[in-house]
Amino acid sequence: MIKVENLVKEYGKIKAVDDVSFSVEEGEIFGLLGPNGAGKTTIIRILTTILLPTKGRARICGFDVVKDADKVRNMIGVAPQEINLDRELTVYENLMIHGMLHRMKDLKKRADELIRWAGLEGREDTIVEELSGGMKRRLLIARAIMHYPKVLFLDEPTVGLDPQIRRQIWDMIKNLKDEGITIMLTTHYIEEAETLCDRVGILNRGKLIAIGKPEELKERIGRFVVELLNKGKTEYRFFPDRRSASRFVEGLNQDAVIRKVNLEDVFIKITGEKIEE
Amino acid sequence: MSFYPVFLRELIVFKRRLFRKSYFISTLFTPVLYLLTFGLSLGRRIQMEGVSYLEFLIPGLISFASANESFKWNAMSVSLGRIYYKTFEEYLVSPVSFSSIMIGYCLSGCIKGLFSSFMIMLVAIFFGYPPPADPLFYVVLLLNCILFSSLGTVAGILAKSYNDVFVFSNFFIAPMTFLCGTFFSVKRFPDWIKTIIFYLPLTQTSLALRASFLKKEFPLYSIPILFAFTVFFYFLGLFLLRRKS
Repeated sequence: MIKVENLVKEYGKIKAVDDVSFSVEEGEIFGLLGPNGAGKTTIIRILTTILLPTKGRARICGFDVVKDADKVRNMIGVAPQEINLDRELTVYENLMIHGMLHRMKDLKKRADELIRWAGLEGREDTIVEELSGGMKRRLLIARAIMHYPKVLFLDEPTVGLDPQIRRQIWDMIKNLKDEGITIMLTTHYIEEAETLCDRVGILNRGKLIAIGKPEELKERIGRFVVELLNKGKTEYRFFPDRRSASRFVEGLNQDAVIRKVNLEDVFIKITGEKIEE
Repeated sequence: MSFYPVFLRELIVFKRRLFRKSYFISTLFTPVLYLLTFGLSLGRRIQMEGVSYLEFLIPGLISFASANESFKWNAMSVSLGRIYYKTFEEYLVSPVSFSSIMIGYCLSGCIKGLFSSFMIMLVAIFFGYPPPADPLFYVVLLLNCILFSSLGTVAGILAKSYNDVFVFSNFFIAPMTFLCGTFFSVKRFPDWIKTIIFYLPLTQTSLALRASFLKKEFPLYSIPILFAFTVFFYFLGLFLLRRKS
């Protein structure tokens, strides 16, 4: 559904995206994981036809994002990181205008259906400005799928939300996957990537440094990690099983934590840095 | 009709603001203030181009308000949508063409300018000056609104911050509102300035609206000049939209 080949985006001398290639299969949730400023949003903006790449190419459903931008725009739904709902319009008007922009028929039925889906019944005529953060985020996703897109882009879909509301959004996303929509999301939350994504690409400073199923990526570095303090700095040691990890800890003359590895450890192992601040 | 959602969005917002008392009053406030201060204090005593100053002022105020409001509405809406609220991206990721975006904005800004103009005409009735019956008056008014809403869209696209809109407005719109025969007769300026001012769009609007209003000979050449400016700003906006995205 999505094919990205040797994508580069330069701003002057800075390479925001540096030779990135990957593909996303139909019906899959693919996540780009990485710290802020890794280039995730830039990739999304190129794929959603807002930015032009410096080099390389990207196709969505076989259409080039530069040459066939119009066709691509018909196939995709976008929920950007910054909530760009029209805050002077009501919930219902936001959906209607979006549908009209996509030349939809049967607008009203679809809008009603999505208002129910996003749990915004009774809020149809509320001005967006007056909605809570979670409601806005739910409406943003509802608006993105209003025109039945084949591919949905979610840029940091739960940034700044309470854990409880974050879970609501996750359920919405899983629900969309069940409906057969291909989803590409970006996140800097480890748990989000592990819970939602079928496959994950890990991005650091514009480069794709690892790609695969979360389980596979974790398996590659070992299943268990020991965290220990060394001269005031946390060090990480990786082990294939709990027994070898315990044996290592027993040999230490200091306290250490043994736990299962997560995707952040994959990032740490490759870059020596952490993702979440 | 793919411009319609862009147009409709602006219209909904306009309608919503219209029902706020403060907005309604502020739209009326400036022109009424001008009419009262200039018109009533000077109006009955001073003659300008052979008529009372009040009579001279009303068509000038209509040109000023239609240009100013059309410009301001679009410059604000486009720059805010682009820079702060990012709602403009909704248009960019949808299959709506740039020309539809331009047309949608030009027409919606135009409605705003027409509204302000009609408000002044309404106030003018109370001063004893009914709206002119000449259809050319309304043709020029409409053209002027479209022209300045295109220019407003251009300013909104060019703006890098909200502040830029005010800078643009100060350097381009404000001088035009004072120099282009809106408040004072162009005839009083030195020749070389007169020539430059003559070709500014707002001068053409003032001249044409005033001729119509005072039932004098209508300057037919104004229409093609205004039309040419409108087309120019429309295509400039289109060009900038393409380049910026």
